[in-house]
Amino acid sequence: MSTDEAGQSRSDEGPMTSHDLLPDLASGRLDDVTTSRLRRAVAGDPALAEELSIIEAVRASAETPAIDLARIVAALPKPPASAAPVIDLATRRAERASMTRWQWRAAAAVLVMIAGAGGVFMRGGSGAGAPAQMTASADLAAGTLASAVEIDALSDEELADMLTRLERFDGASLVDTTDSTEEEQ
Amino acid sequence: MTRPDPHDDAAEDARLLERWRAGDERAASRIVERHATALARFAASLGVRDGVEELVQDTFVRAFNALDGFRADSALRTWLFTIERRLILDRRRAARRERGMVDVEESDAISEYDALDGIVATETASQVRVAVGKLTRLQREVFLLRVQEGRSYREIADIVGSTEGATRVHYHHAMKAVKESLHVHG
Repeated sequence: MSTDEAGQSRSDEGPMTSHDLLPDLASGRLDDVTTSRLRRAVAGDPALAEELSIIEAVRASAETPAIDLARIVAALPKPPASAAPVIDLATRRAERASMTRWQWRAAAAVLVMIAGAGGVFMRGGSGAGAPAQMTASADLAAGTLASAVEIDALSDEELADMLTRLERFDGASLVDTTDSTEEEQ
Repeated sequence: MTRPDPHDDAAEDARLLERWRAGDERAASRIVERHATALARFAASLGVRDGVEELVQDTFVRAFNALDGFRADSALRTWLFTIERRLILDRRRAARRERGMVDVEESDAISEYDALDGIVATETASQVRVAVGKLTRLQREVFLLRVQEGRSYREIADIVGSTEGATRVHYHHAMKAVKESLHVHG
C-alpha cells in the first residue's frame, strides 16, 4: 500500500477506498491527516459507520488464550553461532599440559627402549645379563625422564636420589664402553 | 500513511534475527514476546481451542528452523502467520482423517464456529462473531487477518497464498456477508 500525489492511498490493485482503510483506522495505524479525513467520511456515511462498528466489535471480542512464553522459548533451536562448541581456554591449556606429560613419558620410554636395544645390539647381545641390564636401565631412564617435567615439585632429597640414579644409568653405559676399551687395550 | 506497529516493526525484527544468528539467545525471547500473542489470538479466532500454546510453539520452532527461507522483504509476523495457518490446516486435515470424514473444506465454517462461540463482551460482539463464523474458511481468514490483525492485503495474500486483488475481493465479500447476517438476525 502506498500514497499517490493526491494523498489517495493505493494498493497494487488500484486505489484504496475508505472501506479498505477502516481496519487501519480501527487499529490506530493511520497518520493524523488520513485519520481526520476518514473520520469525517465515516460521520457522513452510515455504511462506513456500520462497517467500522463491526470491525471494532470483532477487535473487542478477540480472545487471546494464555500461553507460556518461557516454555515456547525453551523449545526453540539454539542459535547457529552457539552450535559450535564453546572453547574454555583454561580447560584447553590444562588438557594441553596433560597431553605434554603423556607425550614426554611415551617419548622417554620409546627412546630408552631404542637406546637399550641399540646397546644390546652393539654388544652382540649374547650375554646372559644383557637383557636384564637393558630392562633395568630402561626402567630407570623412563622413570627419571617421566619425572623430569615435574622436577620443580621434588624435594632436595628426591633430586639427589634422581641424580644418583642418573649417574648409575650413565655409569652402566660407560662400564660397557670402558670394559670394551680396556679389553681392546 | 500507516504507522508501524511497535510490536511489528520489520526493522526491529531484522535486528533481533541478526542477533540470534550471531548467537544471542535472548533475541529469540524478544521475538517470541513480540509475536506470540498475535499468533495465539489468530489461532483462537480461527476456532483452535485445544493446544493453542503447542501450536504457537510449533510455529516458532518451524520458523527458527527455516530462517534461511525467510524473505527479509516481508514482515516476520506475516511469515509466522503463514506457518501457523498451514499448521492449523494440517491439523484439521489430520483430525478429519481420524474421524473418517470427507474433507469439506469451505463448507465446514459453521461446525467450526460451534467451538468458537465462547464468552463475548456484548450482544453485538456475539452477533458479529456468529456472523464471522458463518463465513467460508478463506473469507474468515482474510477478514480476521485484515480486521483483527491489521495485515495489509499484500501481506494477507502472502499468508493465504493468493493475490492482492483476490484477497481484497474476499475481504469485501466477507464484510458484505457479515453485514447481511447482522441485518437478518438484528
